[in-house]
Amino acid sequence: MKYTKYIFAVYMLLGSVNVIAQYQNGGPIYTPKFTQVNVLKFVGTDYTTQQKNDIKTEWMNYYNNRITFEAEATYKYNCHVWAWAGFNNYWMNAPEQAKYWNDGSYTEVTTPFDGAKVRYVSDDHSSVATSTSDYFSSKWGPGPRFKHHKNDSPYTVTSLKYYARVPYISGLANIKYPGSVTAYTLDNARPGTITWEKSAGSPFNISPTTGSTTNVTQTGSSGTGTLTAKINGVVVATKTITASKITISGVMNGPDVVYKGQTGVSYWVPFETDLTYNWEYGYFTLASSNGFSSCSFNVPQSFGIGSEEVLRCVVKFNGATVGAFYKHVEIY
Amino acid sequence: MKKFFYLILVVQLLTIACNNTPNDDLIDDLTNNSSDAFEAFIEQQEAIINSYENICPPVTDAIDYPEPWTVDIAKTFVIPDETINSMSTCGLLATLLEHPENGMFRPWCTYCSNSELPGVTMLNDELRENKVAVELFKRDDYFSVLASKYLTIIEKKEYYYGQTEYFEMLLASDMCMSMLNENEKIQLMVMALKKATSKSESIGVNETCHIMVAVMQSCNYILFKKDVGTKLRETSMGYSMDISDDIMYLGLNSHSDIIVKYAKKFLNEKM
Repeated sequence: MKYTKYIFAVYMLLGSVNVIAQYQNGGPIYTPKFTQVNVLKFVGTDYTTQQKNDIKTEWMNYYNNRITFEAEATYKYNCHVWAWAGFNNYWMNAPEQAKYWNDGSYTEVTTPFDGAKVRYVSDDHSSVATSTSDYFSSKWGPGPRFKHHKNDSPYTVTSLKYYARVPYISGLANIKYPGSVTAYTLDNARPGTITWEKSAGSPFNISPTTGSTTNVTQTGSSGTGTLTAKINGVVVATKTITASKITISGVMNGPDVVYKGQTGVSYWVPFETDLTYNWEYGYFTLASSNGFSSCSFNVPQSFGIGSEEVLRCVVKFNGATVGAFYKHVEIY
Repeated sequence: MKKFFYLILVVQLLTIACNNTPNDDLIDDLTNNSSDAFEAFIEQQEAIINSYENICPPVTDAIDYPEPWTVDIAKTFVIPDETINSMSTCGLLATLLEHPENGMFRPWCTYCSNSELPGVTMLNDELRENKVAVELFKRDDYFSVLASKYLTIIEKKEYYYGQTEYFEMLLASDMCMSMLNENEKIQLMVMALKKATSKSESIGVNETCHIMVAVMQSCNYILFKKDVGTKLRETSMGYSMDISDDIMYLGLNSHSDIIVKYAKKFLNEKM
């Protein structure tokens, strides 16, 4: 220790190490739920390389090299901003970090996991849990960032709380049938076994019932049900899903009578989004592309008086037939 | 239109200039305050201070802290009261200054996550609980020992990371100020001023400024209190001054010129 400080003394005489710690308002930054978090931007003179190394050595000695050095000492960022926001260029003073759990961006969990945020209730500190049990990663004030056992830091650990991003189910709130198969995913899921359940009487089925994603298929009835995601048996997210049947109405529009050799005769049916339209015909030939709610045809020359064409437009949703429009067209 | 714009600009610049410095007229006045009489007064004080030179012989009774200093040692390491009581004043000071946690925990909390902690208050609290410090200030010769050490630091430009800062904050502490008489405070002010204005200064003057602030405040120096005292606020690295809405300073390094000028004015009035 004394040797280290002697070296430092010599260094000090060689050059300026005048730490001038100055901050100005930085950011702002935002929580995942878009709450503004006030942070500071360091605009002063930081530690010298020698100081950074000495501070690192002193702390490592202090904990008998049981702590692992991750990043050098700097006034640029502190524990809170690194743990909660992942930044290394802002400084966040308490109690700004509380916004992350107070606005519902993070939820408390009973067991830490790799990446969980650690709140020191009895101290002014935050860290991030690692994949090693009881080992956290944290920046020590303006000091270095270390990976350390929870008991190997200068902070009080009598009351720790662990936080995870609030999971949510992504996917459509409204599904249609027939033919609807919609994927739902549990986002922000922390490690664990994910299981899916649906409420009794739900107008849909789910498969598979484990894993990060499940597929929802309609049962053929309209109504509302609840999709529930659990991690290790604990409900973490729900989503209300409404199923409704797709119907078509109206008639096929276009002339009832056409003439031999006539070209570009148009027919159309009512349009709805997400539906596909397939035109079926016998004598006519296509004058436009098939697949849309309107279509044009050419009438051949070789018909006898009084021939008839039956036009059909089949409407599908996700490959399943919803219905069809018909029209009998006389050819003269 | 253009003239009006420039007029507005000039008014704004004057307003900014007036607001950013505590008292420009006074600062100018202070700058011109180095009269012959004042220099003679300083020389007289320095002569007294020089009498403190080499008060301490090579210290043999200071605590020799275990190395490396670890958290496990720190938890159990206690200096017995009998050892403290029997130690020389020079030994007590060396024991305080050579504590391995100086620089890590003191004078400022270098692991603390909040840049706006009351650093001065925390240090004063720590010193009140520190048996070695308490015993040091019980000794009759504490001032000569402290002055001698400070003189060495100034003359030899001695600097030890953590230790020097801690020593200066010890001098600036409530405990020290409550013990010093006015003459001793003036001598301390002269030394701090000398250190802060040293031409070969290559190290921070944050803690040196704290000595000057402590002396002026404990002597109830009204001019300083009125002009600057209300602008002082505590941060994790000691007092800072609120003179800008945009920049937040930790410590007084950035304001040393202002503190030095008031310190000169203070001494001038004590002539």
